[in-house]
This record gives sequence, C-alpha cells and structure tokens, in this order.
Amino acid sequence: MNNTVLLVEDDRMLAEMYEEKLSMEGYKVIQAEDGKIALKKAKKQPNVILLDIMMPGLNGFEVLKELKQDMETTSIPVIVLTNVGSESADSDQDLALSLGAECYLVKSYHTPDEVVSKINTILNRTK
Amino acid sequence: MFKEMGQLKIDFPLIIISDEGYLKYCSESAGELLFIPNINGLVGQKIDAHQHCSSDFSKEVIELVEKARTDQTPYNSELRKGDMVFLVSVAPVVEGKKPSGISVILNNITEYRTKETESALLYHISSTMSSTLPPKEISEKILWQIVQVMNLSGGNIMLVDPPSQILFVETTTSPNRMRPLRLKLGQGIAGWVAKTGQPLAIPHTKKEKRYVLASKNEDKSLLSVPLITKGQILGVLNLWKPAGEYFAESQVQTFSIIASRIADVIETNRQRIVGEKRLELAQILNSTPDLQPIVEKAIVKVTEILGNVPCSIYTWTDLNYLDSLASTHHCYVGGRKHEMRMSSAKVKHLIDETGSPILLNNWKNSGWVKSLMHKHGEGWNNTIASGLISKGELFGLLFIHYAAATELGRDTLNLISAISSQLAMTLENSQLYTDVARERDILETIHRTTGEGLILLDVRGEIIFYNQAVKELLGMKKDILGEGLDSILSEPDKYCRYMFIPQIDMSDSIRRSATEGRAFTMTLNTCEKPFRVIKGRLEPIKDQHSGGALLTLRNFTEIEDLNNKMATRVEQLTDLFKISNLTGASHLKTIDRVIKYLPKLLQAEGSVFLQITDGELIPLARSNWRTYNKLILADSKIAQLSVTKKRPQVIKSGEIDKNDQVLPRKTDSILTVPLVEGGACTGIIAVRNKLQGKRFNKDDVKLISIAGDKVQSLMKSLKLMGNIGREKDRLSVLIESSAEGIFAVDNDGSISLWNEAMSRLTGYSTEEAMGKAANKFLLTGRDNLGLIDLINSSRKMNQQKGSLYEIELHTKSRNKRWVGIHFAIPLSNREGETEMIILLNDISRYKELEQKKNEFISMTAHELRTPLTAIKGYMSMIIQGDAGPLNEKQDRYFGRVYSSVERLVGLVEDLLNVVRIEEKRMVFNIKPAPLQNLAKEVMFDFKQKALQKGIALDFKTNNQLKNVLVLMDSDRTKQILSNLVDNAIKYTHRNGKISIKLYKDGKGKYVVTEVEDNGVGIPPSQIENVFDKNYRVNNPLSNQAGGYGLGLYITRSLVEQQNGEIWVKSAEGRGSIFSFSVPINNK
Repeated sequence: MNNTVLLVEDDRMLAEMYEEKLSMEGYKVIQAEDGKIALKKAKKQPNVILLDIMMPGLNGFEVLKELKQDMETTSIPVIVLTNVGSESADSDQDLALSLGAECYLVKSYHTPDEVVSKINTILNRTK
Repeated sequence: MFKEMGQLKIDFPLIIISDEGYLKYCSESAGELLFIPNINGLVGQKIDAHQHCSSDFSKEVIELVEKARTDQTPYNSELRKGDMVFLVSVAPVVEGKKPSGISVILNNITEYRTKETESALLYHISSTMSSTLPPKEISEKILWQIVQVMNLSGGNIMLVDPPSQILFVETTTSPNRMRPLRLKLGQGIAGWVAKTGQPLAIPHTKKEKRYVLASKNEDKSLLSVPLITKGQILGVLNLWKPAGEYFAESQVQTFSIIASRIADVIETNRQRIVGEKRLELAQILNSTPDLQPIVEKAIVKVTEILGNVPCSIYTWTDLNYLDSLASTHHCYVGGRKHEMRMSSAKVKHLIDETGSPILLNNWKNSGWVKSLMHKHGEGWNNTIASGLISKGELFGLLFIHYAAATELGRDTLNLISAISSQLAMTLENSQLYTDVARERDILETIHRTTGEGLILLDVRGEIIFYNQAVKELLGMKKDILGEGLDSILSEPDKYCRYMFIPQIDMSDSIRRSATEGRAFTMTLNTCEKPFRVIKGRLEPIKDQHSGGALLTLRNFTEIEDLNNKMATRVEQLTDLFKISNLTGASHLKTIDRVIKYLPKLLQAEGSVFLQITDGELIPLARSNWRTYNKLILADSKIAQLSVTKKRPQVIKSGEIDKNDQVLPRKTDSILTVPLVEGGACTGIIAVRNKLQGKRFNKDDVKLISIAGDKVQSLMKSLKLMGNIGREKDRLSVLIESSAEGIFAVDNDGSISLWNEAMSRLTGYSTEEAMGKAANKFLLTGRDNLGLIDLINSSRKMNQQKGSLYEIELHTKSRNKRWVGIHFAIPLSNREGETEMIILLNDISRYKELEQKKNEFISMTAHELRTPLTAIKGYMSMIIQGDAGPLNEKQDRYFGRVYSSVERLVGLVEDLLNVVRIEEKRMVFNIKPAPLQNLAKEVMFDFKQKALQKGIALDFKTNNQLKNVLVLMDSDRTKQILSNLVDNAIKYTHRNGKISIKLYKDGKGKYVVTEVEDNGVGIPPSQIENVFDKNYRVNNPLSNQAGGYGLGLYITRSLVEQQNGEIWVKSAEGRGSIFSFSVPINNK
C-alpha cells in the first residue's frame, strides 16, 4: 500500500513540484493550501505531513501545535518545509522542533529529491 | 486678672479655660450661647468638643480655644450660629510669667452686620486705607473717621515700641488735652489689652477712674481694642464716649475688626519701611570705597531697620581680639581682655556651628558671655550676636541689644541674619578684611614674578612671612619666622651663613618705618669672603588695619662691581617692574612703561619692542621710533641679525642699511636684544642712537639684557594666560554648541558637565542634571542598567579607551533613544580624581533607517527564496532525468544553471545572515565539543569540490589536542570553517594546495585553526579590509570566483560571537593564511 503524504503548501508552483516528485516516488499526495484545510485533511491519517510555515490564515506553527495536541493526529510525523529562517541554530527551527516537528528543512537549500529521501528516512524510522 | 474681671461684674459671654484645658469660668450668657447643657456644672472639668457640644457652633468655639491654647496666640474668628454671627475672640491669658489659661469672648455681631452706619464707616475706612497717604496720616484719618461717624468723644492709637516694649501714643484726636502717655505692657487698661490681645470696654464708674485715659476733670466710658495682625499685637486702639454712654457689644466687635485692619496697614507699612531702609543700607554700602564712613552710616541704618535698637559692629583683628568698627547709642561690648578672648572665641564657635544669629541671653549666666554683654543700662541686656561671614569664614560680629522683655521672633532673627550678610559682603569687598593670609597671597604672587627676597613684618617689627628667596639671599641657617628683624640685623651670624656686618642702628628705623610710615633702605654686606652685598628697602604697609612693613631684599653682589651709577640704573629698572607689579598694572602696560623708560635709562634717542609672530614683526611698544605697524622679518636685515645671533649686540653705523624698514631715519647705531624662548626668537628689543655722540657700552648691554629677561618672562606669562583663556573659551563654546551630547562624571559618578545637546537628547536640563548621580537617571535599555555602570563594565572587559558602541537610553519623558557612545579618556585632575567624559550621538534616526533597511533586505531575501526553490527544484529534477534523458550538451548547460542557482541561494542566505547578525537575532548554542572532529567533517564535505579543481586538501592536528574540548556552537563553527575552506578553494589556482592545521595558542587558552592556501593572496593595501562588509578583494581570480564579500564579514561575526578572534596573513600572488581561535573549555 502506498504511503500518503499531506502536503501543506500555499504556493501553487511549489505544491505542484513537490506533488509531482512525490507521486513519481510512489507516494500518494493529499494537498492542502492553508492551515485550516490541513487540519481537516490530517484526520485522514496521512503517513507524514510536509508543513509550510508562512501561510494565509493559520500559520504553520499554529497548525503544528494543534496537530500535536489532537490525539488523532499527534503521532503523525511532521516535517516543517519552509523558506522562513535558517536551518542552523535559529529560533524558528527551535520553535518548530519544540512543538514536535521531526525536522526543519529550508526549501531553497534542498532539492525535491533530498526532501523525498528525508521522508523515506523518517518513515523507515517510525515503522 | 481674673479677680479684677470678677469685680467688674460684666455679664458678657466670657469663658475662661485653664491652660490644661479645664473650664474655669463661664458667664451665664456664654452658657446660653454655647448651648452646652449644664455648663456651669462642668466647671473644673475638661470640655470635649465631641462629648459635650451638641451644636456645630460650640464645637467650633472649643476647637478655636484648643488652637489658641496650643499656639499661645490670640485668634479672632467670625462664627455663625443660626441667623446670628458671632465674633469669637480667644486669647491666651498670662499671669505672672506663666500662661494661665485661655479667655473666650463671644460677641454677637449680627447687629453690626446690619447696621448701616457701621458699614459706611467701614467703607470710609477701607478707602482711606487704600489711599496713598503716609501711614501715620492714614491711621490719624481713620481715627478721626471713627470718632466722627460713631459720634464718639475721642480716641487714640497706641503702639508698642519693639525694643523697649513700651506703649506710646502714635496719634490722638485730642492732643492738647492728653498728657504724653507711656505705658509698660500690662500696665493700665491699654497695657492689659496690648498684652492679652483682648478687647475691653469699661463703662464709666468712679471705681475705674484710675484706668481711664483722660484728664481728671473729664469722665468717660472707654473701649480699648488690640491692634492684631498675623498673631502679633502691634498696639491698642482706644476710644471713648462721654460719661453716661456705653459701648455696646456689637460696637466692640466692629472696632475689633477695624482695629485689625489698622494693624494690617501699620504692619504692611512697617515692612515697607524696613524694605526701604534696607535699600538705603545697600546704597550706603555701595556708595564709596572709604570704609569707615560707610560702616558708621550703615550701622545707623541697621538701627533704624531693627526699630531704633542699639547696635555695634566688631571684627577680629587677630585670632582673639574683637575690635569695634562702629556703634550706635554709644553701646559697646567688652570686658577684661582674657574674658573677651574666651567669650569671643566661644561665640565664634557657636556661630560657626549654627550659621545663624545667637541670642546671648540664653547663656546669660554662663560667665563667659557676661563679658560680651552690653553694659549700657539695666533693661538692655537682651543681646543678639550675628556673624559677619565672608567666603565661609567668620570675621566679625554684629551685636544688637534689645530690651529684656522683647519677644524676638523668627522673622526678626531672619532679618538680622540677612542684614549681617549684606554688611559682611561689603566689608569683605572693601578690603577691610585684609588679614595676614591675604597679604601673604599678594606677596607670593610678587615673589613668583620678581624673584626678590621679601620679608613681611608686623607692627612690632617681627617677621610674619618671608619667601624662599630670602633664605638664599641671606644664607639662612634657621627659620626666622617670629623673630624680630632688629635682632637679626644686630646678630646676623646667629641666623645667616654669611658674615654680614651687624647693623645695630637699624632697629630704630624699622620702628619708625612701621609707626611713621616712612621708607628706609639698608645694605647688608660682608667684609670677608664670600663677598656678598644685599640691599634692602623697608616700606611701611599703609593699611590702617594691619600695619607693618615690607622689606624687599636684592642681591647686589654681582653688580656691585659696576659703577654706582649703573647700580642705580639697574635698580631703577627693576623698580619699574616692581612698581608696575605692585600697582597691579597689566603685563602689557608694564612692558610699555619699561620700553618707554629705556631711552632715558640708556641715554639714547628711541626704543622699540618688536614681537615676532610667524615671521612678522609687530611693534608692541615704542618710544621715539617710527616704523610700520607690521613688518616682514625677512625684510629687515637688522632684525635678522639679532635673531640669528640670539644675544645682545651693538650694531654700528657701518653695518646699517639705510633702507632697513625697521629702523627710523637717521639711525646711526642700535643696540638690540632678542627674546629667546625654547631656542626660538619671540621678539626684539632695540634702542637707537646714544645721545651726545657716545657709543653703547657694556653697561648698556647689561641693562638691556635685564630688561629683555623681564619682558621675556612677562610675555611668557601673558602668552600662557592668553592661550589658556582662548583654549578655555573655544572649548566651552565647542562643548555647548556641539550637536553631540557631551557630559562628564567625576569619581563618584555624579555629573560635572552637561551640554545643551545632552538636554535635548535626554530631556534633563543642565540644572536638573548637574551634581546628580548619573546611574540614577541615565538608564540604558539593557535591563535598565545605569549608563556609567555599563560603560565601566565594558571598559573592564575591553580595557579599551573610547570604544564606540550603540545602546538604547531612556529619556526623561520615558521614551527610548538610540545613542552611539564614545566614552573618552578618563582625565585626572590635580587632586587625582578621575573624570570621564562621555559623548553621546543621537543615532535614533540612523537606527530606524538601519532597521528599515534590514527589514527590506530580510523581506526581499525571503521573497526570493520561493522562486529560487522552484528553479532549483525543477532544475535538479531535469538533471536527474525526471523529465526524460538529457543529451550531453543539455546536461552541461543545465549543470551551469543549477550551480548559478546554488550561488544565488547562497547569496540570499548570506544577506539573511548579515541581517541576523546586525539585529543580534542569531542564536548561539555554545557547548564544549571537540574541534578536530568538526574540522575533519568539513574536510570531507569539501573533498569533492577540491578534487574537481585538482586541489590537494591537507589536514594536520597534533596529539596535544586529543581530548581537548572547545566552547563553541558546532553548527556555527562548521559554517566558519566551511566559509574559509570554500574561499580558499575559490581563490586558489588549479592544482594548488590547501592545508588545515589545528594547534593550541601560546597561553593554552585557545585552539587556533589555520586554513592556508597558495592562491592569489591579498594585496597589502587591502588586507585590513577583508573582514569588512561589502568588501571583496579586487583581483582577476575573484571575478571568476564570484562571492559578494559578505562571507568573511559573517565569518568574523560568527567567530567574535563565540569569543574568538580571526586574522589573516597574506602575500600577494603566493597565498593567504586565515586563522581563527576558539576558547578552550577549562572546566
């Protein structure tokens, strides 16, 4: 059975790019373009959530907080994938990790391929 | 007194309350008015306002009584009781000398309020009072108005004379029928009223005849009301009616009110007179420099101000004796000498301690003060001594003798105190207060400029001061202070090393010099080797106050071989300087006099003094010497000659160019002396044409040299004074007008300087800031730490002077301002105190702009990231073949695009890092960790990149570093190393070599990491700037290599934030070594 990824991303082009790559790698992709939809779709129990931070409405941190507080979604691993902040010792990263994110990736640093391999690593670990 | 009241059997509302507050007496009508149930049953009990009084009226009355009882002051108050208005008069009653209770009189003034005639009277009186008539006429007019309007038979106003406490008639309606009347306080009805402050109406009866203030033939009803203002009884208003008529209660009240108005007028007027007299006093004190008349006039004014009381002024002539300067009423203080000495010293001590006038009466019985007390009649022994204080020093006393019974209030003491300081200031200014110390000051000043021996003698011919030069001139063997000059002259060998011939007959001259004010000269010479000739001039000090004489000694040993004429001439010259100095002439004036005197002295035609400034000659003084006002040194051969020779010379006619611009026409010979200071020539003195066809000789050269030296020293001090003054002026203008906030704090952190810009910056005015502790109000945005504390702590850390940094500062209006701080070199003043000067730059605007810029960069960079992510992502997918296989060209081209995008991503990252660094948002997670592992990791990461360029990467560490942990944020340090290695690869040619070396520094406190390459290197001119923002070394390789100069700036910031240092060594064309240190974890 294919693993499901919830891709929370408001930028159409980036969403499309990650979706294409993930499907190519055999993942089933559910998309959400803002925080509210993300929370709703998380109930469908995806295997992993890719979460953007800067979004209209609820921002990524708020979504993350709610996901982790909700018993239904708390165990789903979340990868924060954003263009805010920096990966090395930054307050944004600290915040994301303290809220329960598995890791914090800056989009512009990583190719879609690298993102997929990160997802693979995390899913292998949680299995 | 109460007995008398009882005998009078007057039933008006009267209550008497004992001093302890117990009810003593209450008349029937008073009881009714107060409406206190069974009031007569309360006699002997304490009346409590809350317990006994059922009406507001009675409560108010009792409260007023309490007030009078505690203040011991009479009060009048209008209180309402229903429709009625009462004037409640409460007054302390004094029997014997003790307060015995409070009397209360309740008077119904309702009637008065409605009575038209009385209103009219009041109206008249008010208008009279506001008229501009002299006060005595006003009271007289009022008195007449009262008598006429109220249809009385007469009246008078009696006033209390403050010094004697005697009542006298000020004005009366029937002068002819009144005998002059003076009453002591408490004597007669008026005396009783004036003492108690209670109005009293006496109907005519035979019995009371003795009280009535009329001639024996005429019997009258009398009303006597006190003149009270501000709690002070000034006198009494007496009114009378023909026999058979009585003063109604309401009238008593009306007149009480009128009386208090009259009292107001009298008091205001008295104050005005005191003011005028003080003004007159000030005028007298400023009138003439001649002291004695001033003091005599002044003391008369003082007496007038204080109300015709005897006064005297004394000053201390020496430490113990008081000397009378002036007095009134022929009063004096005094006693036996030893008593005087003791008591004056004690008074001095007391005034020194309190700083305010003291009442000697308080020490009347203590013996020592008795001697100071005035001995002029019985009743005048209430003496006040007030200090005459100048510059914090008590130098005299003002004595005021009041009558024994006079009450002396605070106001009087304050007035005396003010007058004393007024007197003291003048006395001091007028040089009356010329004590030995001051003379010493003058002498010391003279000594500094002349270098002559100076001896100051007192009237007895004893030495009270001598200067250093005396020691040298006389070859003193021991201290001569306190010795008589005559004993030194008669036995010189006892005091001096030189064998001077004794001058026994001088003692008489000395005495006469001191007493008759004549000057004498003397010569002290030795008859055997070493030869020494000392000449002295004894001049009396014409100061009536201290007297004595000044002996000036000069060494004539050297010039004794010159002929007598010469000696006199030198003396004349020196005298000229001395006289000028003594008379306080300005230096320039002295120079002018000397130059003008030179032709006379040298028997020549003319003289000039040219100052040399920047190659220009400026004639500052001249006599019979025509020349231009400004000359160029190079234009005058004569001037050049004297400047180059640097010593006095005679220039003869043969050497003189007739066209020399300095010289007047028909100059045949001149004598010049240059003034040399520090090897440079600052001026020339020249004298021309010896008279009678003679030539300038040796003596002339000597004289002009002396003149030259003196003028030189005067010019020097003149220049010094000028420079200091100008510098000071410049500095203070600079400080005040500076746009930068400038302030200074002294040792204990209080503000000692505060300029205008500081006031603008902080909102605290100079007055508010000066002397305040800086840390108490100059608070920074860093945890509210005081600014000075912050500077001091950072000074300790950096040990750097004047380091500049930026901080937020709280202003007075609780806003924050960004300021740049530049704390300046601590200055030590003479007392060894350190003063720190701090400059604050308001950089709020700049900070605001910087913040906006950072926000802008940050926002732009973030915005750039999204499209870059898409480009990079898709490009990576294309290269990976996600969109189908690529041919070789496509692969190469897309590879180029990809690496360019990578560079762009890196640049955006750098920009964001710079903003983080500047806004101090970068978080450091510093923990002990091994550095060598990290270095290895970095080496591994870059292996591929180096390999592509054919560069060899070499890594060296030593065993020393095994198990050594450094304090670092691993991610950041990795970033540092990566940046350095990346740079090294960028700037190294193909097939180059890069080596990384780790070692402990000399002190073992740091691990140093060295990244060495053999690349292009950095030109020496640019090496200082490599770590600056926006800097990139300009060389061919760097253009290929790219990079926008932010890398090393970020690297330096990262190193410094981890308490390390970074530095670089480089040789252009041969390579660079970048090194950075990280502190070792010592725990």
